[in-house]
Parts: sequence; structure tokens; C-alpha cells
Amino acid sequence: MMERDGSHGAPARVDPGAKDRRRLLAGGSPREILTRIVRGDPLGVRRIVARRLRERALLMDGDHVHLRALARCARYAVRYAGRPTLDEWLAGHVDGALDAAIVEEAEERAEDRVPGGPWSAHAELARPLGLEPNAMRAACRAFHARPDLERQAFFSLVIEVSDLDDVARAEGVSASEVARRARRALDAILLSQHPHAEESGPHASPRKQGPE
Amino acid sequence: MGAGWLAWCVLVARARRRRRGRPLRGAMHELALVHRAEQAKLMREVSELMLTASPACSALLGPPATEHRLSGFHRRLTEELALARDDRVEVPVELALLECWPFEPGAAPRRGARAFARASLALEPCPLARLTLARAWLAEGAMRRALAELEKLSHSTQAPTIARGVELCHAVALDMRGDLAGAERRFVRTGPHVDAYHHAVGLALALACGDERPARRLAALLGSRRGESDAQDVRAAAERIRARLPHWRRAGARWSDGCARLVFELLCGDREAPARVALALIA
Repeated sequence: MMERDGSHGAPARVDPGAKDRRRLLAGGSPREILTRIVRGDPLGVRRIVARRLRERALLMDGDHVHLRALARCARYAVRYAGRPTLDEWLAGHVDGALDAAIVEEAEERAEDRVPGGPWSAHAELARPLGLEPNAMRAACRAFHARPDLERQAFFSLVIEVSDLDDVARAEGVSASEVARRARRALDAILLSQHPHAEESGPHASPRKQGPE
Repeated sequence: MGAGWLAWCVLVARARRRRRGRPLRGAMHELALVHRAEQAKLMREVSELMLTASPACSALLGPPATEHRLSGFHRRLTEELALARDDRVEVPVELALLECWPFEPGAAPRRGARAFARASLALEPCPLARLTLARAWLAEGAMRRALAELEKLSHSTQAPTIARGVELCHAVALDMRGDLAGAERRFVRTGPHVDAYHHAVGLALALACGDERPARRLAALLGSRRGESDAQDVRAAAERIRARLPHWRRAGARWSDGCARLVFELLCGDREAPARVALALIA
């Protein structure tokens, strides 16, 4: 199911295109580098974004993260001296872009800002499903505030529709534990649609539970 | 027919051009945000460099800046200023003025940490910027404002590293206010991933409060640390504990003879002391 290119943990392999790809990052201002790496995505950053979104179980606008990751690569290209490998370096910047997006989301919640922006995938995704874009955005924010294990359980069972026993086996925990984790993530999503229930509900605020 | 066809072709070409230009415009917008994030990070860093000179915040941020740390900061600052100018991205005046800063240990200005923390928060609102601002309030003795900021931070979900920083800052603020039990609870909440310095201070506070269970736990954690940097951390903590003793006594610390002996063993800076303290407590 997951796209894997083996850049993490795998022994270093010879990448014939690495030199050409590195050349794209050399010379010029960040704006010039960015112009070179945006069109056609010659560095293959989109593929890494897709992989990391799945691995980290995040429901985010892939296009937005992709652009942010490219911008980070262009800005920090000046510091890249060939180590770690290019794929690892790119993955690091994709993770940086994801972390920044999570912080921005949390700030939107903290300040009750109206979400949006020209690249809001939530709006495009929500409309055909008959959902309110803001409600969808709030649900994603609530989901991202949950611990990794809960997000991964939800992602495997609900988004990827994997078999419960397979997931339990892969995680090395009981099936009921996986189901419980997914349920907690689902509760957080449902609660985000009824924020007033948070103060009065019987299992108020799943966000306040500690990470596992 | 011909004119209609031509108009259609022009429309399609324009739409294609618009679509092609959109990702690049979006990417340029993101690049400006990346520059802003880097500038905000530099301003947080300069605020913390100023804070290490403050007695309250040296407990949180470690010893004053070394030459190595200052030169690293200077390199990143010059890089960002040059690249932002190349990209025609606006540079905050506070950051541009830092070019005139004396980058030598002990020569850095000590005032202005709050201004930099605020500027960083304005540039990029994030929990780290709020934590830096809370530390700056704390260093200025504005306890109420520091605690208000920290309360807000502790009630929102944070990444574990930020949550630990918040708990530590909260503990130091409560200790300064004389709420030893509250400070001790915060130290205990920071968990096992904190350095030996904070474990030692937490242990001394737990002993001062006569709180046996957390003291045992912290002593066990401390007892398992044997590295050279751990010993240095414990010695630095001992200095802080020594300085805080009169304050703790005034705040009503309860010291049994056994507790006092254990804390002073810790204070003596012996490398084996933490382990012995741990063993004595566990036994």
C-alpha cells in the first residue's frame, strides 16, 4: 500500500541521478533555486511528501506541504554539503514542512482564526462530499492533536481500511487496543464538530489524556 | 467560426499559463514564510542568549553562551540577512541591527530579551515563541505575566520537547514565587527525558518538601546517570541548590536530618554522590 523508496535505514545505494539533482540546488539565490525545482518536481519531493504523510498518519493538504518543502529546500540548499544523502536531506525538509503545518494549524485553533488560503485542499475535498470546509478543517486539526499511535490506528483502520488483526499483529498489541486507539481518534474528530460537548460530555476532552 | 476558434485558443492558452504560474507563485509565497520562520528562530535565539545572563533563566537555559555558540549564531544570522536581501524579503529592523552586535562571550547585551521574544512571536506565532516570551517575563521578575503565559501553554497540546520546556519554566517560576510544592510537582512531571541538572534540582525540591515518592523516583533516575556531562550538570545544580537554600527555608521547606545529609552529599559535587543518594533513598 505504502510507497517506499527505502531511503530510511536502507544501506546507501548508488543513485545515478543524484549528481544532476544536487546540481539543481547549487548556485543562485533561494528564489532562483526554487524556480528550478518547482517545475516538474525534478527532486521528487512530491513522492517523499506522500510517503511521510502516510507514515506519520497526517490528513493534510499535500500540495501545500509540497510547496513548503520545496521552499525549505531552496532556502537551506546553501547549507547542504552532500551529507546526509540527498533523499534523507529532502525527507528532513519534508518533515520540517509537516511540523510547521501542524504548528500553524494549532495556532489557528488557539486564535480562532478562520482557516482558508488559496491552496486549501479542505475546501476542494469537502464540497463534493457535502461537508462544510471549516468543519473538515477542524476535524483534521483535532485529529493531528492526537498522539501518533492513535492517529496511526485510525489511519490504518479507517483510511486504508486494513484488517484489524493485521494491524494488531504489525503493531504488536491486542486487536482491542488498536480499536481503542482508533476510537479515541474518532472521538476527538466527533468532538471537534460539537465543541460545546467538550466541557459537559461524560468523557470530556480526549485531548487532555496523556500520550501513551 | 475562425474568430471564435482563435478566441477559444487564446482562452485555453491563458488558462494554461495561469495554471502553470500558480505553483510557482505559491512556492514564492511559501519561501517568504520560510524566511520569516528562520528570522523568528534567530530572534528567539538572541533572546535566549540574553537570558542566559539572567540568574533566574540560567536555571532553564544553562550556562552563558560560549564562543562556539555565538559564532554559530553569527554565521546563521549573516546567512539569513544575505539570502533575505537576495530574495527581496523584508528583514525586521531588530534583526538587521544585530549585525552591530559584539559576538564575544560576556560582551553581548543583557537587556532586550523581551523585545526580541515579542518580535519573534509577532513574526511567527508558535508555542516556542510564547515559551521564550514567558522566560523573558520571568527574567524580568514579571511573575504574573510569566505564569499566565505558561498556564496557557500548559493547557494546550504541545510536542513533548516543548511541553518539557514549559514544565521546567513553570517549575522555576513557582519556585521563585515560593510555591515549593507546586514547583516540585512540575519538576516531577517533566519525566525521565530531562537532563541531570533538572533531576538534581527536582530531587532537592522533593526532599525540601518532604515528598518521599517523587524523591525516590528522581533519585533513581539520577542514580542511573554516570556520564561526565551528568557530573557537570549535578555540580551546576548543586550551585543553584546552594543559592536557593535560604529562600527555600523561608518558604517553609521541611528538612529532616537524613534529607539534609543527602542533599549536602549531592552538594559536595562528588561524581558518585547522585548514585549514593539514590541508593540511600531507595534502601
